[in-house]
Amino acid sequence: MGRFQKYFLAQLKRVFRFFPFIAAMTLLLVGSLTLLASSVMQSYLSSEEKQKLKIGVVGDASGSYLGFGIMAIQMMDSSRFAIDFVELTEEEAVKGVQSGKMSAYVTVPDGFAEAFERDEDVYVTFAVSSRTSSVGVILMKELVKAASDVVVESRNAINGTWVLLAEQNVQEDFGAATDRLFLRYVQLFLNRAKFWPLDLCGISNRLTFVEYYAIAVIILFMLLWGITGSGLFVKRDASLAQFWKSRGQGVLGQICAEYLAYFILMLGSMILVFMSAAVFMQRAGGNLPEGIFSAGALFLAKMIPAAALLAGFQFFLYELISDMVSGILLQFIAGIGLAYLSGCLYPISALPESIRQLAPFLPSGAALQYGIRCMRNMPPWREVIYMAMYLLLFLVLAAGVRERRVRR
Amino acid sequence: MRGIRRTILYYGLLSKRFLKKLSFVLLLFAVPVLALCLRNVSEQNSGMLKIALCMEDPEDEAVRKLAEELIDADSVMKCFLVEGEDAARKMVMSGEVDAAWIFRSGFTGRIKEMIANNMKGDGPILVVEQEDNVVLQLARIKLFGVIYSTLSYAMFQDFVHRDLGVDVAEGELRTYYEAYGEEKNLFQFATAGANTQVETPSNYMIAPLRGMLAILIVVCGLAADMFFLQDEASGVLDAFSMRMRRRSIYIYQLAAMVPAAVAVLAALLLLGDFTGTASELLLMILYLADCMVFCNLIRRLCGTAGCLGAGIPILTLGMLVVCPVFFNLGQFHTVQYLLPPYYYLSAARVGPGSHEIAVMALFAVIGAAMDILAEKVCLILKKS
Repeated sequence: MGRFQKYFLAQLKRVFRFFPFIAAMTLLLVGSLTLLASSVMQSYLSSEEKQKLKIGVVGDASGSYLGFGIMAIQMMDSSRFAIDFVELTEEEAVKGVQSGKMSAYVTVPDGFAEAFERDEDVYVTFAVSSRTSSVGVILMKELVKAASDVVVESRNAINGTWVLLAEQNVQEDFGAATDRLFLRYVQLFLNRAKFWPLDLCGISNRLTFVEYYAIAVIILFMLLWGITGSGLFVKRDASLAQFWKSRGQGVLGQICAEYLAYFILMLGSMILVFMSAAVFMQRAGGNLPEGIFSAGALFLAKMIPAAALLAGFQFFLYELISDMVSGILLQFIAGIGLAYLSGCLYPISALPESIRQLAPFLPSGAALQYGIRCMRNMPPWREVIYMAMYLLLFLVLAAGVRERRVRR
Repeated sequence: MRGIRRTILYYGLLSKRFLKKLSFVLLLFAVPVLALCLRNVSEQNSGMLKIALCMEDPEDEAVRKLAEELIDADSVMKCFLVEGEDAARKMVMSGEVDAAWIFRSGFTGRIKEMIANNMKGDGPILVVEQEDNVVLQLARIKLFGVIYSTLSYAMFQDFVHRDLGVDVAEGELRTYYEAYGEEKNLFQFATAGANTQVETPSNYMIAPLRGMLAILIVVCGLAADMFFLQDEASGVLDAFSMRMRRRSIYIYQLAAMVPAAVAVLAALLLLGDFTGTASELLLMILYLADCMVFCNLIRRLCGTAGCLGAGIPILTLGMLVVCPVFFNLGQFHTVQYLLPPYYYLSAARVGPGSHEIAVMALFAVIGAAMDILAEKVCLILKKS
């Protein structure tokens, strides 16, 4: 048996001594997360009511156009299947939102209808939970702004009609006329979709949201998985490397053997995560699409080159560091940073132009593009070449760093 | 007194041990630098959704105004003009854009016709998409908000002329309509029960960074735990009494987490997501206390450095998903209550009020009590 083989087997043994820890933690965390997610989904899907977005209404909106508008949405609009307005007291609303039973609530202040009609500075408060993420609040703010535009414009028309009737001396019951106009506005709102007929041309070469995020989560997991190796690959000094070198095992051989062992450990972990998730999901039941596990396993097999690249990248990072805290911190910052810049957290199309141009050239970006092409059943040769070049570069750099440490 | 002095001395020595490492300092320095870079990049043109706007009649003043409003809007939806329907369709088919909104020629006329015919007729906007989904439906609500002023005026016009039968000149009619035309947002955003305005970064690129930075501190604490376990295994702590050893784990964590917290605060300041020195400091101190007990309990649960190292990636991924970093998955309440970033992010939204301070302090106290209990149980088990 050659020296390299011996060294590789020793590394494999060292790495796989660590595997039971990974297996135990993986089974514990993946199992609990999968079971929790499926039980939540089961209870969520079992009740149709729970799928609705519940919005509380605090204060007396009845008797005003606003109240009628809310009633019209609840009774007649297509959104009634998605949104439920519930009248309650402020205390109940706060409790509802804080316990997560309600998404938000609106508070209509006393005398709002009259003050609003007189164009006074009055506001409806839209309260969200403190748990709502910042991104969620940004989205809600945009939608609520649209709702505000609709209400304000309708009010302008109704008030304008009132003034017109008075100034033009129209023989008409003012109240009845404005009520008629209001009803026409309600009709306009309920029929809004007729103003923008849809032309759906079907998905061509684009991934669905779920497909894209399935790849993104795999890449994100691989990127963060690097932290696992901190106990194995952070070396305080180069004494062991010097010892092996004195025994004839060169630095490049050491790097290749250690990298291969690390890569095999990563593959083992990925298979374990996939298998445990599959087993737990099957146990938890639910309506899973037929053949999803075999398709998932096949796709995971296709992702092996991406895993090889990311393992190489993480291995190189460990060579740069000589203490545990910095090692973990570096893996975390590099992992989360690259995931963010390559489109694993936000879709690549949502990123600014300069990042979009940079993303395919990052290791994680190349891995994501490779995954996307595999999912689309397109030949990923260009990405494979990129990834191979990157891997080679990382291994050479890692060897260079170790050589320097050994000589020092 | 002597104990406190010894603790401070030990903290100083450990901090020196961490800060002596150039890589650790450089990494922490990189956090605010990266935040600053991201802030600059986030100011570039970007959007969660990309919509191609196409005008069949570019001379139509009303359509041009609407398109300009959509393009200039500070929104997560990025709109831009595309010449020709075919080009817009191609962009949708290739996935370059999420949707194309084609403004038909005779836009205003079509609206008037539809309103006069009880909403029947050819729609003034054609929406082209690969497939419809919730996000695109929400985007159309935004579209509705923008075109609503045109729709509303057309409705008013129709009502005055046909229903009321009043013949008023166009200019005069517009004056009546715009008499109350002050543009304002009717809704104020607040946090439930707090009656405070919701402060969030206006840019979605920056919005999740506070959450990620909070997770960075937890990771730092877990890394310090691994460092402690490594030291313990190599006999560095053998000279310490059990009491000092228990105290030393917190010192290890603080020595690693305090510099990280300083880096995180600097990053928040540079991101423009800094709510105030006093409130941020108070929140951070409470958060550090929560992270300390949380990391310590995780260390006890894992037992060895190997197990802890194996658990960090999945724990990190779990925190990214379960805590309100990107979106709040409200169904995971039970798990959320176990994670310190959840309390930190919730309190950061409303500011450190008495309720938030109490909750975060309670988390630390319960965690510390559980830690002491766990240690006692371990000791009893060892003795038996």
